[in-house]
Amino acid sequence: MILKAEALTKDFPTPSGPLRILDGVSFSIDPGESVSITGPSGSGKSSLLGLLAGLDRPTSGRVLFKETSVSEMEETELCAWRRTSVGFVFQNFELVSSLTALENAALPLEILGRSAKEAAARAGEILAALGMGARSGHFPHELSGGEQQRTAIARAYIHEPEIIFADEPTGSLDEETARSVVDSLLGINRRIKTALVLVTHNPELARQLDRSLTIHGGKLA
Amino acid sequence: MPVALFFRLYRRNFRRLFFFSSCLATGVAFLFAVESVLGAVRRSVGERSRELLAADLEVSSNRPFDAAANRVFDRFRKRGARIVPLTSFSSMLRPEDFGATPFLVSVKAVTAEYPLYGSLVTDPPHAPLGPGDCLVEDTAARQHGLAVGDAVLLGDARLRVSGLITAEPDKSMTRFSFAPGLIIAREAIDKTGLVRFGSRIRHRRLIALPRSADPAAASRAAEREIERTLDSPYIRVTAYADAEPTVSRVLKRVTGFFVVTALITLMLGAVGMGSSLTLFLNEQLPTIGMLRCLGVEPRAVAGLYHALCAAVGLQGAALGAAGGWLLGAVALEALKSGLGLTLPVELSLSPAAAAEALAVSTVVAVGVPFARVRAIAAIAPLTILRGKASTLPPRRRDTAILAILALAALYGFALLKSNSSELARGFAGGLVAAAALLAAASAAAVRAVERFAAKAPGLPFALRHGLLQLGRERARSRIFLFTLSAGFGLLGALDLVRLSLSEEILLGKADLVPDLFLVDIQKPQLQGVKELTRSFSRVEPEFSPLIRARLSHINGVAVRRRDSGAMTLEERSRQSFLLREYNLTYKDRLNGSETIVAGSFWRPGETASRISLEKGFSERMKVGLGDRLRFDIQGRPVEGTVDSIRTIDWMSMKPNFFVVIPRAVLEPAPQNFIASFRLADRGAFSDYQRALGRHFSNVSVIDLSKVLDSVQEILGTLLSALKGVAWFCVAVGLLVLAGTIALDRRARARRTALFKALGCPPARVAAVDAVSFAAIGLLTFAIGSLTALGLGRLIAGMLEIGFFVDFAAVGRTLAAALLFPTAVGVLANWRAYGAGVSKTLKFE
Ligand SMILES: Nc1ncnc2c1ncn2[C@@H]1O[C@H](COP(=O)(O)OP(=O)(O)OP(=O)(O)O)[C@@H](O)[C@H]1O
Ligand SMILES: [Mg+2]
Repeated sequence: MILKAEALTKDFPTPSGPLRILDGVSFSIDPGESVSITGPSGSGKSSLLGLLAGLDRPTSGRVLFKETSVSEMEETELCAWRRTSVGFVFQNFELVSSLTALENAALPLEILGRSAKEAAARAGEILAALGMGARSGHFPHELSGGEQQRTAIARAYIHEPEIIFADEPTGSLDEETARSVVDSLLGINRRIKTALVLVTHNPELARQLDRSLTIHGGKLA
Repeated sequence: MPVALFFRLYRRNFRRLFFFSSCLATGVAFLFAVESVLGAVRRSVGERSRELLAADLEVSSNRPFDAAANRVFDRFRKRGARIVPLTSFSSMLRPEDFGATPFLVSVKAVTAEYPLYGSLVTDPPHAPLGPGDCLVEDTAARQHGLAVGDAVLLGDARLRVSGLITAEPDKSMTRFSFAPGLIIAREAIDKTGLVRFGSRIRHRRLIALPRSADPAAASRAAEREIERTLDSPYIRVTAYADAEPTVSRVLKRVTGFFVVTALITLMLGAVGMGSSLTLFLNEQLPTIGMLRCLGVEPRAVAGLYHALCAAVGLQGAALGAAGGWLLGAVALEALKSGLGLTLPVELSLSPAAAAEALAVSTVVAVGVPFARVRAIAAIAPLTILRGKASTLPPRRRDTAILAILALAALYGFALLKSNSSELARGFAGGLVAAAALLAAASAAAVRAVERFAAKAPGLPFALRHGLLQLGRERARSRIFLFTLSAGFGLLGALDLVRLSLSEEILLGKADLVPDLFLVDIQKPQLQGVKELTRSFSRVEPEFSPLIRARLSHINGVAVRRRDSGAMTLEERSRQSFLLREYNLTYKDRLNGSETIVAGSFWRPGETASRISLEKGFSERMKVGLGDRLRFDIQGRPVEGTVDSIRTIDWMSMKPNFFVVIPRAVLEPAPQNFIASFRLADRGAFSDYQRALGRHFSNVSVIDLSKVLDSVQEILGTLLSALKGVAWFCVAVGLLVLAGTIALDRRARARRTALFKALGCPPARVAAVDAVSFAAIGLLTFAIGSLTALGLGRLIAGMLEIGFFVDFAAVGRTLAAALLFPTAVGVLANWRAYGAGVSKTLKFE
């Protein structure tokens, strides 16, 4: 077990009283296991992912990473945890517009305190492995959506985290590109052996992962 | 639909648009406040100058006024002017006391209405002045042992000293007579028997014009009218505005300084607004792309944003007019209570001023971002929607057209405000050139930083990413750098000009400026007077020989009175100028207040007959280097060639002369001496006077300390106002700059969240931002200092102020530039450093 959700609930305050969008969600994920979360729009997938990744705190219940409660960590501990053990892939890429693909991919290693030179060398390798070797000197606005997402994937894996959170990583891409991005993602995941939690609308993609969770009205089905 | 859209956009962005308006409004408000306060100060100073002349206008003549002159006076009287006759002449005054020495006095016969402005202060107060009375200047009375009640003889009249004069308003510093003053009643003139045909008399009329909004202009207009009507070379007309050249010259420069300051504040506002509006438009790109995709025409989009800009302008005008009125009222109140300006000043918001606010504000608001808004219209929607257009580079042609329009607008505006095309040209040209240089320097600096950071992977994380951020976010960094260097550069320049002006006004050295003058020292007395005076003086007393002469020939052509009938006014004034009696001096060394501006001054021991002229004098005379002048010194001719032209700093109060000739040439001529000095101890004045009177009874002391004090007071008022204004400008500038920096915080908050999601501790994200802003601060310091020096020199040159470079002052002002961007940038983003990541950056 690397990550465990225990009876997670999340309420959002609204003018007509608190609105419960997650209601007692519990499950666990093993090291290296890949899990998809599917469900209709508005069912609470993104909210759940945010709680798991420590970007938000649950109303009740908790998230355990190995033996530590992520939900109760201080902000500095959370930072350190994300720095060493977590990787992110966002639907809209979230690259730093003033850095090249190479510099974006190298960023987590630099944040970890590795020298920029070493980080750049490693980023070069991983980008090349993702078929981005020729584009590594380009800025995000000079790249296609698929290329931007591959850069983001390189950034998520470069520091070899223990778990990756991805929210609809192909949501902004056309079918063809989506498929090749998914291949890249799964390929690198298999090689580096990282646990992966991936939210998707795409049943075909969900089937390619080890296990599939479906959420409905804030509860696991 | 565009109208509805306009209102929706306006409402949604109300706060930011309000900020843009306030940037403009501060400038507009300041301009109007400065104008109203300036008006008040000018009027107040005018009032003081009127006291120095005791009238708005003085008409004087060495012949009795003829019928034509009296008709002119009647005309003025009908318009509501008050006119007082005065008669002045010099004569010997004999104390009746047997054995007392007679001494020369300058007599003024007055009526009860004298003076028209200011007041005659006597001891005892309000001493009576009947036909048998006279008032004696207190210093002279003390020197000659006269007291109230003593009898004196003036010509054939026997008069009783009814009081001592302690202050006399029209004893102006530029036209003082060398002898101490004596005031008698007009009715007493005849009894003296001194006013006869052929005696040297000045007939004077003091005129007080009816109250008007601009007394200085009114007095000048009246001066011109009288000169035009009275076609006589004997008549001299002096308007109070010209009577006191030092104050009016300083006032002119101070006025210029204020106007420039106001324009600078307005420009700071415009620069701030322009930069923030540009950042705003960049942020609006997604909205614009969406509108374009929805089928809104480019022209409509451009119209929409032009309209938004115009709304900003209108809002700025309204805010500015209201703020200006308030600011003016507050400033005036402060001036009145703090600096003792005594003037019923009414502040009014005239329709003309409001219209001007509206025009200035709208033109700036629409004009500055015009090219960028046009670029928006032209851009392809897809480029925007795919996020490929992060900035909008305006088209070159638009920028060029705009630069030309800006130049014209600046020129027109400066011309309107300063009334001087030269000043306006320098201002507009200099500013546009400075702006171009600044833009180029900012771009080059940003590029250099980028190159450096990208090629130096060995740098620590915060340094590397801070510099990369600065270098890569090129558009934003350039805007910051330009705005900040322009802002701080202008502020630095302002400070330098203010310091130069203060330096020039010499307020700091006021207690070393001589304020006592000795006249009529005979050659054999020179040594004794020197020794006596030296023991009392704070500064080394300066003695200058004085030789009276007439000009007889210019380049061999005799100077003779010609019939003035066919002459122009200018020719007539030159003729009377050439015909007057000149005071020459000799010396072989310049004193500290003189500067040679053409030719060269002779070496000590020069024996050739050479002449050095004061610049203004040589211009009035129409004589220059190489011309030969012949002077007639009591029948003996002295001829020489003009071979140097000097300027004189009259504020130094040193005895200075228009015409200087080498010592060896003039030493044998009949001469006496004058001296200037300042007492080490004011209280010792009567001791000094008594000692002087005992040994050198013919030597007169002229005390200018009261006049000087009053001038110093006026200048002091102006200087404190200057300082206040400069600080206000600094405050406004910093606010505008802070607003511009803070405007960028949305983008930075997002980036902060991303770095934190990647596990970067908030403190390190803050360090990256701090490095980036500190580098901007450092570059601002460098570019801004150069800008301050360049602009300072330009502005000082335009205001004809000697430019005085004070590197410490530049450093002090610009030191703020070092820390300011970092402080504001980090503070503005403070919440983002602490906020949870999911607030900004969440899974969708
Ligand atoms: N900050 C918030 N305040 C109030 N309600 C919120 C907030 N964030 C999310 N919600 C609501 O919670 C519900 C779940 O949102 P969430 O984004 O998790 O859905 P999702 O399953 O990711 O949907 P999609 O597939 O469309 O991305 C939605 O109904 C949403 O409106
Ligand atoms: Mg979602």
